[in-house]
Amino acid sequence: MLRSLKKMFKSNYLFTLGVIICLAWIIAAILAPAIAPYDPVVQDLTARLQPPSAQHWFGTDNFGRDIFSRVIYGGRYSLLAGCLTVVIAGAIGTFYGAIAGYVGGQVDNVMMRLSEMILSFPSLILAMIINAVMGSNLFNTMFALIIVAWPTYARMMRSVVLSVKENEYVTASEALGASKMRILMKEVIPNSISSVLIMATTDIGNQILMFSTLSFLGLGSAPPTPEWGMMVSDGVDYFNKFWVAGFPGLAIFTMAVGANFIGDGLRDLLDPKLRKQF
Amino acid sequence: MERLKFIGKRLVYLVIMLIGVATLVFILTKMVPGDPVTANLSQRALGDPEIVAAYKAKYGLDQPIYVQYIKYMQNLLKLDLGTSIRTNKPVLDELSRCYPATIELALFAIVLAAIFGILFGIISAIRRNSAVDQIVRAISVTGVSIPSFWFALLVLYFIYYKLHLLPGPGRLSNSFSAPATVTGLYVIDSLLEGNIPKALDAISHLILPGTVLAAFTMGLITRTTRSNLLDVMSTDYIRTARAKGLGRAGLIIRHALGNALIPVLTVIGLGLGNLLGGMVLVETIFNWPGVGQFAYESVLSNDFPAIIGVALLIALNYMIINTVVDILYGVIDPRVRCS
Repeated sequence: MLRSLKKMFKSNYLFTLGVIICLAWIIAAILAPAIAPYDPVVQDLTARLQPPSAQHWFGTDNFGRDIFSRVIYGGRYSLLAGCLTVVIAGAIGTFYGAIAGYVGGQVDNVMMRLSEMILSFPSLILAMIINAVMGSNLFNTMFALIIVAWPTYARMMRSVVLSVKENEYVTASEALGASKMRILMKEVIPNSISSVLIMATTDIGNQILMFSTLSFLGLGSAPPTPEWGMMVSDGVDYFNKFWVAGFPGLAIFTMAVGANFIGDGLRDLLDPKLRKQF
Repeated sequence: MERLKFIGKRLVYLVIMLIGVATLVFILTKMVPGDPVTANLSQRALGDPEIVAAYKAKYGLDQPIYVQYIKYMQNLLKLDLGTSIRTNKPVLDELSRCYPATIELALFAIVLAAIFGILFGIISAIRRNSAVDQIVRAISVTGVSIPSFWFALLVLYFIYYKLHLLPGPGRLSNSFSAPATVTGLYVIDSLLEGNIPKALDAISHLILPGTVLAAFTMGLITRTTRSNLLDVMSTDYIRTARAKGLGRAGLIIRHALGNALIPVLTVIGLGLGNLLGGMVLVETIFNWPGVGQFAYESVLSNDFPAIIGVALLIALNYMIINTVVDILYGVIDPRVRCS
């Protein structure tokens, strides 16, 4: 595994690029106070809407705030929201799907129909409704994202568990008298989790996109939080000043691309079918 | 007979899911913090006790919750979605006004996504691991990763504002008046009027929002086509065909593509459903008077009857598309029906 990962760094440039991009954003987010030259929320009305320059690398917005500093700080919110959503939704989905798949029968039927009901709403619309119902703030936005995201994991997990539970080592455990809970936790879930993990890597990019989309629509964090989606939406009113919306948008884009490259690479690595040469 | 049974089963399933979704929406509306009467009636109507009492009676808000639920379902069956607070018109009328604009854009985008997605996928699979493959993969990852609201702003800024290559927001240029409504799709209605320049103008207005909307789905279709084609190419029957001396192009077009495209059909179907959701951003930025823009404005003004209407309409679309894809799947691929 480690060796093939090393080989992948050498041969799969897109994967390497993805790792570099994501690491760069993570470091930037952690070291934001050291890297950002200005305070991201302090306004300077004498320096409104200035184009990129030596003082302000990415220019300034309509309140004279330094866009470079805001973009660096913004990574914290996007990364946090993306990762937390994936971890929580992934955990819920994993257990839900594993139980449905392992228990089977009517329980499985009812559990899956429930999750399909959520899936039958386009995710953005459902997240918008939940946000509208609960009121919009950072916490509720993440809650909405989790509600929308978990059924996909549940379905994936269930389909893997259905085949894993037929394995002899599961039968052996049952014969030894292990409880259902023990078999689920010790045998079924550990042997089914890898595909969920790959899905989670790719999904971080999606969740960052969804989060910024909701913020763009005014359903995320409140101003003056330096959140990328909201910054792009600020730029819509200053259409001819390309840097106001341009740089935060580029930030979201690079982050999502990085996560997708990594997810793609991991899928190639772990799916032997794709490794076969044509 | 077997086929009919399969279709019948899917349709029963569709009805059950519809009831489930309507119930889910009902539960969501019950989660609205505060009094639903205050949330749904305007300030002026709230001052009039008669209106408040009539409203409560109409939706059974003075009744226990299960009675409310039955009433809600009855209203839905009568296609009564209530009145929009923001526009003061029946939600159903509003939705039928916006819907054709959305359908026109969605159909345009899905056709665009399918054509380019399948084409790119085939090229990428044939030239696996070559430079072309890497470029196509980069394009498809870009399509999946680019935030659509930002992409929309980019194309508006460069192609419309800077280069003046294509028209920007709206469905028609100011020099044209809207065609008489037959289908509600401007391109088709203009053609029915015999007005070719107007139809061309309508098409040119579709290109920018259509491209932005298609980007994500195109990326997905490219990936699915590529990986399925690669899977199929390693099967025995393809090896046999190859051993018979068939050229690569003939092999792919005549033998491999048919089987490889079956899963792509699902992605296209799901993509169409997702497009309807993605409309919110694109329609808002391109000032496209469709369901997405209506949904966005309704959410901003907490117009719950309208939001519920949009949610039900889009979920309905989504489920119908899925059912059609399921049925088509069974028709095209007999293996699915047997299992």
